[in-house]
Amino acid sequence: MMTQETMNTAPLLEVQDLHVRFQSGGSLVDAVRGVSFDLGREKLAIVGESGSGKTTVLRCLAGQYNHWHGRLAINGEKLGRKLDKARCRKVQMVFQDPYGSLHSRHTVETALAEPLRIHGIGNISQRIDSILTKVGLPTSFRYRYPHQLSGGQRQRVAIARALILEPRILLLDEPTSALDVSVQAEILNLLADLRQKEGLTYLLVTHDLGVVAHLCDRVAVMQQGRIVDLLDCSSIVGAVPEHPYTRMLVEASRHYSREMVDAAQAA
Amino acid sequence: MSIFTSSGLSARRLTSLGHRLGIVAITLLGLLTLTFLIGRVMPLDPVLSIVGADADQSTYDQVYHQLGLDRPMYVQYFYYLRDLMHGDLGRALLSGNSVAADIARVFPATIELATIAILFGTCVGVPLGVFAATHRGRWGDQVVRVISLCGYSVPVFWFGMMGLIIFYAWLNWAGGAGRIDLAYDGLVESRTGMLLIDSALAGEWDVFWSAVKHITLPACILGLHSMAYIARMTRSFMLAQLSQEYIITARVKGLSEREVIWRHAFLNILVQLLTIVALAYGGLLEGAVLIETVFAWPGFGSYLVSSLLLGDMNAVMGCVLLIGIIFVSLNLIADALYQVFDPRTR
Amino acid sequence: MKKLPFLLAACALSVSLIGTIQAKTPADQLIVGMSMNNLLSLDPAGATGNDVLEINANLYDSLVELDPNDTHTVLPGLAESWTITPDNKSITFKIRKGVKFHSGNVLTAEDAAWSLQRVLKLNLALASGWKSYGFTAQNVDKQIRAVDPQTLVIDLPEPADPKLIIYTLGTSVSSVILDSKKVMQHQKDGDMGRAWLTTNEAGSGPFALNDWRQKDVLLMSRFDGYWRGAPKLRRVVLRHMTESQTLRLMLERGDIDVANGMSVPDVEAMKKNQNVRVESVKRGTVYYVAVSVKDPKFADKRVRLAIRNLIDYDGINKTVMPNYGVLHQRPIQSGLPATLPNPGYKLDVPAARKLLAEAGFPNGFKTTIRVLSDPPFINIATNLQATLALGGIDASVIPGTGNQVYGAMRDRQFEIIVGRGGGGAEPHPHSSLRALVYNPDNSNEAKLTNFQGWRTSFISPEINSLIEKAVLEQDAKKQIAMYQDIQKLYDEQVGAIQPISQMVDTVVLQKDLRNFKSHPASTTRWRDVFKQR
Ligand SMILES: Nc1ncnc2c1ncn2[C@@H]1O[C@H](COP(=O)(O)OP(=O)(O)OP(=O)(O)O)[C@@H](O)[C@H]1O
Ligand SMILES: [Mg+2]
Repeated sequence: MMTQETMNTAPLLEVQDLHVRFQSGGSLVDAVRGVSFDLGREKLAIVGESGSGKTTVLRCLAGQYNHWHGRLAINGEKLGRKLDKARCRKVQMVFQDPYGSLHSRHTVETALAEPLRIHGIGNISQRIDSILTKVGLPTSFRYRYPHQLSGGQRQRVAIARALILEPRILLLDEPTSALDVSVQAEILNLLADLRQKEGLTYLLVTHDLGVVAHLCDRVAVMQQGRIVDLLDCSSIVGAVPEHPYTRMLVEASRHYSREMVDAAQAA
Repeated sequence: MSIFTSSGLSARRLTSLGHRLGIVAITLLGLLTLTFLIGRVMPLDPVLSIVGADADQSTYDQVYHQLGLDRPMYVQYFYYLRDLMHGDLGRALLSGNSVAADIARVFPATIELATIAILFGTCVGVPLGVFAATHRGRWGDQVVRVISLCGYSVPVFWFGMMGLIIFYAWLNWAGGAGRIDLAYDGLVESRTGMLLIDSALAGEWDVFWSAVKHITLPACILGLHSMAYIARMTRSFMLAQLSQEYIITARVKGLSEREVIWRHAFLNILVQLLTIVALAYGGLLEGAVLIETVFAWPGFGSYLVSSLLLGDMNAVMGCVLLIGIIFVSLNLIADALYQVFDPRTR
Repeated sequence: MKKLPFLLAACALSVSLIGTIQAKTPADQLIVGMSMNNLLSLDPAGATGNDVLEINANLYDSLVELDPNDTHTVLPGLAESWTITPDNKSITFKIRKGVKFHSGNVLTAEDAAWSLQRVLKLNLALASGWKSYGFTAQNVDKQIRAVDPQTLVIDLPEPADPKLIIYTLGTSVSSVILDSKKVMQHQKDGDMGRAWLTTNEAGSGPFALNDWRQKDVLLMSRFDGYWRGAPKLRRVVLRHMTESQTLRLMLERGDIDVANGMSVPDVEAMKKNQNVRVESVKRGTVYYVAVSVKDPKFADKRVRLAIRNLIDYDGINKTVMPNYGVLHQRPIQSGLPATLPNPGYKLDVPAARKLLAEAGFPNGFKTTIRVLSDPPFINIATNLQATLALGGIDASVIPGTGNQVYGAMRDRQFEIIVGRGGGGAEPHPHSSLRALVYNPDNSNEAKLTNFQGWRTSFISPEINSLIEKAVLEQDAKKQIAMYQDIQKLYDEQVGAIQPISQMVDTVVLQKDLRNFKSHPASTTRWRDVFKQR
């Protein structure tokens, strides 16, 4: 895997001049207006105010929208508008609310087995066991329904669900914002671990710069559908960002994020 | 789950069942009392219906007495309730038939009609609703909206008449009025009172086809309204589901759109939908006087209305009780469905 | 979605396959579409309404029958012959030998006596007519009796015209003869079989009842042992259908043979249809406008006369009444030798206004019209409302069911009623007058609710005594003259009930039906009916 990637000169993920426009009740909303970034093996975070278009960018990548303009590519291969099975195996997504993203009438097992079945992957039972272990859940949890799990456990299941197809890129849409602080730390550690073990590339959306500092190398700051700032994580901790919005974000999160990072390190 | 907690759970469920039955009993009693009171103050004289407008006073008084109408109202009510406790719905004032037997005679015709109607309504309404939801805002959605608007606002009587003219008189596809061609009447033994079932049981396929021919048109027209209702509800339920993240999850998993819709979204609205269908079905079981009139369908609706118009309160009370029981049981069934199908309530 | 056209095509195909089964009424069955809403009981002692008359006329036999072509001709039925004593006090019937009931029991004079006695003993709806002749539950065993198995004697308790009783025997549903043994087998709590007879029959008629599902269908089949010879039809099916347009469609498609109770527009449309025949028959009852004389306004003869002048007889009979009735203004039914020609009452607003002014109502008054909410009643009422308004009378229409309208009339709680009545089907002036005019005791306590005369509180001692005398008059010519005097008196005194139309009943039949003769007394008999195909 590693060798393949290093041989390939094209970046793993390429987003060029992405535009998305929604029509809602007669009025047009330009949710994304010309977003471009590359993603190599590093972890990129997207931060930004509510409604700035972060989720929309992720959904385009995950193949949920087909009315975008611009260029999306994985390994230099241009992505079509329609979601195909091949892309599903390369890109997976984890959502903000682990409860809403799991089907309430499906057991953990059903939820995990379904992608395997669709993609014609065998050894279903074994794979489920191993993925559950990987995300730190007892294998007996496979028979549970989402409502029988805690929030953190649910998010672990959601991550397991995303990872079971062994994607290269994991799109994380505020994966911890619905969780308690201590549980957030657990999940962040898990994600950090998995990244190392599985060689994953993350594209993380968050409001929270503390999370960014813990998990990512670079940060893209979005505002009103545009990337207004792109900086290294290290610069957040020490220096004062140039862009006023970034500065505001950094300041707002400084106190909170320290707490977070401490908790994560203690865990 | 330990034995302890599960037994605790079932005990709780038992008390809640008892509680619920109590509410049901009180509801039905209230319904009956109200009907009784309305019946007694209604300016319709059953005695006159029996003896005719030209009977002399001694005959009138005699029948009045025989029906027990000269007793004080609370005594009449007490006797009614006492008989009811013994499972006796009393006798229709006019025909002297047992009300229970009367209802047992007319109700199967209505069950048959309502069942086919609700099947039609569901089988057409659900796909339409799903189609509209998945094509939200596009022409498909608009078409479905127009269809359900028609279904809601169509004058059933007029539609029935047009149906008869087109499909019966003109195209000769449907049978005419009544449940069956008259030549077949009385050919099959009545076991359930539902001709489709009786004739199939007896293996009388000619009779069965005749019954099918006769029931299809009225049932479809009767089902139009349910169809519109079900389509609209399905659409809004589906829209609520389709905007949820688990749907995106399902798509990201690589499921085809059809699987996403039917196996994920639809599965989640199934119980809600069943409740809607059950209640619509309950409404149909009350009988549909207009359709029954146009198609000369000897059902529950016309029985209730003609009893009401003739002032036969015993028959009306029996009907009201039955309607009450139908609705209460459908509600209980809907609740039970929630319990069974929703893992969260387990 | 690509499959949709296929699905549609498949549906259309399967439906058209179903459609290949063609329906046409079987040659040996008579299929009648009619409203059975008022068919509550088949018991001859208690069943009201015309529908049951027709049914029982075919399940049972009566002692005599009236010729449908000329109701004055009395034809033998179960009675081969009858004699009236010269003093007009007794009738003796010779009962036919060898007549069997559907049960196989032999019909005797005892059955006949028992059947007629039963009517009075049960004292149900149909007893009223008999009681008006003076029969009572107490005297009936003495007055109506079997002398031997072949002889029935009816002694009149009060002086009356015996012809009238013979007419009643030929027209009333209570006059059919029951199988007394069979009925008594089904007696419960001394009810003389009342509960059982509500839904069963014990007759000797040309057809036997197979099944009656209320407000659904009534099936009868040929009685092979019928004494006149088995009828040609194997089966008669009465199907409950209330919707006129449905009846019409089924007639057009040939799925029913006879339609009763169709609406006027549908009847008119059917008149143009080559395959059907529209038959109208006059009945004994009249449509009328009645006022309550208990009301001080209408107690004034001038006001009643004004009302008489405010009815648009021509307009109503031309626009509302076709197929329901024909112009008739006399209290005695039309077509009888005693019936005077119509007096020619007309809508005359100035005359009415003048009368009202004289009576002290120059600006009219407010009143109410109670009426059945069905056609033609409601149409007559709205027409009347408009013409009353011309005279300054402001009448509001209160529609209701028959039960409500006639209930109010029986309680004497009304001002104006548009209704229908006029007694039995007996072709005798007395029958009409008894129902519409006669009022022997006007007190509220008398509760003579069966007399429409009493209900209107109109009382005329001269007319009452003339009615009582005329029915006893043995000389036919003198009797006719007396009845004509009564009509003149009624005209002069302005009776409370003003007839507008003689009732007409319309049936629509398939052309291939033979020997179907609608009977003016509703006793249409199907025993000779067959289909010419
Ligand atoms: N399906 C849609 N139809 C119409 N407008 C939409 C749709 N989805 C998103 N939008 C609009 O696009 C803009 C961007 O939405 P998006 O969900 O990408 O924001 P976000 O940055 O993820 O915000 P948050 O941090 O609150 O999740 C918003 O203004 C939103 O209202
Ligand atoms: Mg978002």
